[in-house]
Amino acid sequence: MKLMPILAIVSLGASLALAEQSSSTFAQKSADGKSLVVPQAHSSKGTVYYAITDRDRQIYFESDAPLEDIKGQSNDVVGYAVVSSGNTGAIVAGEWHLPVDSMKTGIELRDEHLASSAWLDAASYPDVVVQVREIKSLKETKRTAAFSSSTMTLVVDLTLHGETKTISIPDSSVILMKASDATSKVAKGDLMAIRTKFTVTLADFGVTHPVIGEKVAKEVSLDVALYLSTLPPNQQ
Amino acid sequence: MNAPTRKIIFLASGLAIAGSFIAFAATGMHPYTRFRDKDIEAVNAESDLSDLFAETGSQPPPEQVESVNAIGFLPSGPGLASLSVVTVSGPALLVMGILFWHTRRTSRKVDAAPPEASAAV
Repeated sequence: MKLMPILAIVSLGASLALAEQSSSTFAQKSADGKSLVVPQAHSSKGTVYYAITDRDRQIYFESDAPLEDIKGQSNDVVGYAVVSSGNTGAIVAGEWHLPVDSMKTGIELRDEHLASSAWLDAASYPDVVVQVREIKSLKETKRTAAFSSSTMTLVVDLTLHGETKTISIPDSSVILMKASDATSKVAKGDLMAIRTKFTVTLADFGVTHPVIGEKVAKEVSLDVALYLSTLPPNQQ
Repeated sequence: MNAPTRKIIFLASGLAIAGSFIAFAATGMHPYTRFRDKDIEAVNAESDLSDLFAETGSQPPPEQVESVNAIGFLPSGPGLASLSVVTVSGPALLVMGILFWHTRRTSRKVDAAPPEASAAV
């Protein structure tokens, strides 16, 4: 019986944390959970591309610490990017959610630890969220009849473990590919690829643990390959 | 404990130690024991999109996480994941140590016994 008030407080705390994450400016997930509901303010800015999820690897991360090298991946990222109507590859809006419990390192117990309250706390902060703030230094690198590619610096708000930081990611590349017979065999709609690499300092996001610096690196590197289509997931 | 039993236990412990190190080396010397993961294999098998975009000269796709069966130096969980060099060799070394100590202790007792007692033994 004495546990009841404690459980109630813990439950209230968890609910508040969840409410904090969901009631912020994050886009809501669609009913089937395979996309995000694109806000009107974003969709009106240009062409919406939806992340193609559950297919190719989208995120690869690596922690190279003195005592251990941890590698992980996920293909469960959902979200969208809005490209300016000129189709120059200029991303004018975008948001992606990476479920913490979708990150797989090849060792089940380690995956559980990663999602636990001692690390990324998936119960309170189920998703890692990236929101596009702006792009800089947009430069078209190639244009053919089939595709156009460009590089840019992506400035995004990264929310991890409930903490949000603005980071700049230079040398990000975007490729836009018009729908064709070749592309339709892989995915329907006009397609887009976003390739970028960046590092995350765990302490910046309130992730602290005695083994950081020994078994887990202070900085975790991420390699991102997002593939998107102009058709929503249920039509891709 | 008689001498043949001691020899069998000693040999079995030695084989367990050697076996764990051989398995560790043969499976890639991973720090932790790991097993093939169907989810990871399913993701790794998907490359249609990255192949399509590779034709545009874009960066190669991200690296992939290995899905392998490997006996690691350390265990990675309960059950089969508890098999590792440390968890197999450790107890085997302990058994060998106890056996060695027991053998020495017994032989000292025999050496220290009076001639009649020693003969009786």
